[in-house]
Amino acid sequence: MSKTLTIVLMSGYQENEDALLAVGLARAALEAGHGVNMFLFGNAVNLANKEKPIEGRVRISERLKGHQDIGKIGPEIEELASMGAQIATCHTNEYGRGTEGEDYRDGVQWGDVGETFIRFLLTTNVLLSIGH
Amino acid sequence: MIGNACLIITKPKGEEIATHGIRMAWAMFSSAMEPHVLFLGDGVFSALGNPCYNTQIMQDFLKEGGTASCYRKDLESRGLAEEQLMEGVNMIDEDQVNNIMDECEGVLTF
Repeated sequence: MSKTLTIVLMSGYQENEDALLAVGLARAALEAGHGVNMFLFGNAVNLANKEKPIEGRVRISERLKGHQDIGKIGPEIEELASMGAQIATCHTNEYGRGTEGEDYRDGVQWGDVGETFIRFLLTTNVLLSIGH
Repeated sequence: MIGNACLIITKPKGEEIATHGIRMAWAMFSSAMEPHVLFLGDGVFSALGNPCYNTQIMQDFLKEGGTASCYRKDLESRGLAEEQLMEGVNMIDEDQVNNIMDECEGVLTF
């Protein structure tokens, strides 16, 4: 029987492997036929925004760039959304980080705790927080 | 549907993640859900009523009938006493912590 997993992700790019774990878990749940909601909270709100292209040469060594690229999971957020995941941010946390109003990645929705997260809970069977 | 949940606060005032948990509890409570705020570890410092946003939200939450508890062992091991808790926060022991976990449909850690 299909269930719905709601993940509250509170870690963003690079700071640890929480976002990698969340994306992997979400993908596994979707591939198994379950529903996934992902609420981007705290530093995770930075995953919601489109990247700005770098003009000219990327001034990072290939070795360091390879290391950084492991944690650049933004495209995977879009892929999860295309697979059916509902992904929303906390706009208050975006405001606090000066990113409210930036363009969202495809499939990511504006959100808040009081309505969006509560709406997620209404369809949730399994609730999980990831972050530290 | 998740109708109730335990929201565990493990961080003190000054750490954003503690605010996340308290805000989320207030949002759930305002939507007729039943959150139980549980202060564990260094989260007990968030239960002291320090002057801050977290305390304002917790006071509203408690005044309106929300439920919050603080783990006695973690409070006392930090040299703090029950009298220092915000009014309305229950002091609980380990077996009660286990009961809260058992009874809730979801557990979120902040």
